[in-house]
Amino acid sequence: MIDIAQVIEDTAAQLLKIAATKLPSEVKETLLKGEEETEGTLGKSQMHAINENVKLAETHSKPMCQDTGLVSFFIKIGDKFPLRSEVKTALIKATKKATPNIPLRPNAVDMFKGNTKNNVGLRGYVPWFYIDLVEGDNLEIIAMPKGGGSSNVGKMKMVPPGKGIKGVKEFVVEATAAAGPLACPPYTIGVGVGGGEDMCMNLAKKSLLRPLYQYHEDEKIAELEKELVKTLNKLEIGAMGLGEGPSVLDVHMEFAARHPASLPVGVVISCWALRHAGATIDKEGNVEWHPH
Amino acid sequence: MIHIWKTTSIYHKILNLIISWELVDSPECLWVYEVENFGPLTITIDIHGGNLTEESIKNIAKNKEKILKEL
Repeated sequence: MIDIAQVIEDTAAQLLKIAATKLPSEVKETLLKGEEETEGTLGKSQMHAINENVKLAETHSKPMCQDTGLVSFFIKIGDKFPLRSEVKTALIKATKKATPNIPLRPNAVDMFKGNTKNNVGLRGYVPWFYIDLVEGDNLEIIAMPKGGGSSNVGKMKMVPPGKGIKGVKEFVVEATAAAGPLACPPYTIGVGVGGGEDMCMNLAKKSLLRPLYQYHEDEKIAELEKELVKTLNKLEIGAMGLGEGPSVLDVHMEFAARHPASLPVGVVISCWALRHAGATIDKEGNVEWHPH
Repeated sequence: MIHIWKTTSIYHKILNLIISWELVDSPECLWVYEVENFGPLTITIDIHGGNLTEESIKNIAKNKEKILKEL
């Protein structure tokens, strides 16, 4: 009999390793194309360093950045999947195990007791879980470690609803401009619109999981995403903020319904190292790794 | 406690990577490098008051105003 909890733990630890050491293929391709298309030696040298870094990390199976992020998991639990709360327990164990094994930098700091040294918070919130209940008998896990530098430039604003879509665009431009050279560009920008003050940020983060250049299925939103990519690149932030090369690789948006009196907009920014990795486990414990 | 690791970096051979501080497993530790064939590097802040980050921030602010007018 297969120990499903053990399968989850091993799979999640491996996902953390993949995420930390290997970029999704479309991100890698985009960064290589970015180097090719960058005019100016300053920008080109930065893009070259980024691509060398990505290559070395993958070759040596070592983290591509010293900041291996704050760990979060997006999980979808199927109705017939045999485990429930034990999924969380297994993911916490995986995080603890992965920390010395990969290694991940210990990034969970308790405000009163200091660094926990294992990436697991003392108060039950880290790693953070985004849990969804779905039909079927599978468990889907996506590991997303997010660096502190680019999280520091995330922003939320309750835009006056009268400003409408223009207000949303303005805020995305303002948030990206404020990030400027500070958070290791070229960026991928996640935008969440609607819901409440917390939900828009959740949606913004979730939108970063969509592969680059896969635009929203709603054509209106897809158009808006493409328009924002062009607009934000006019900021001329450039590779590593030096004004040359790509500023923004892509923009992804998710929309929720909003309260009539509110228009919450969340902007979550990823550095060039847009890291995530996923797998699906069926009820027998077979693991299918998502294309990476 | 001082730990000495031998390793190599991307562009230059790092002879000894000395991590000072007891907290080797802490993100807040200090790193001292001994490096061979250092560079070429991009100097972002120089002794003449030049600051590429500040220049970049100013340029981005200017571009932002223009973009917001055209939205």
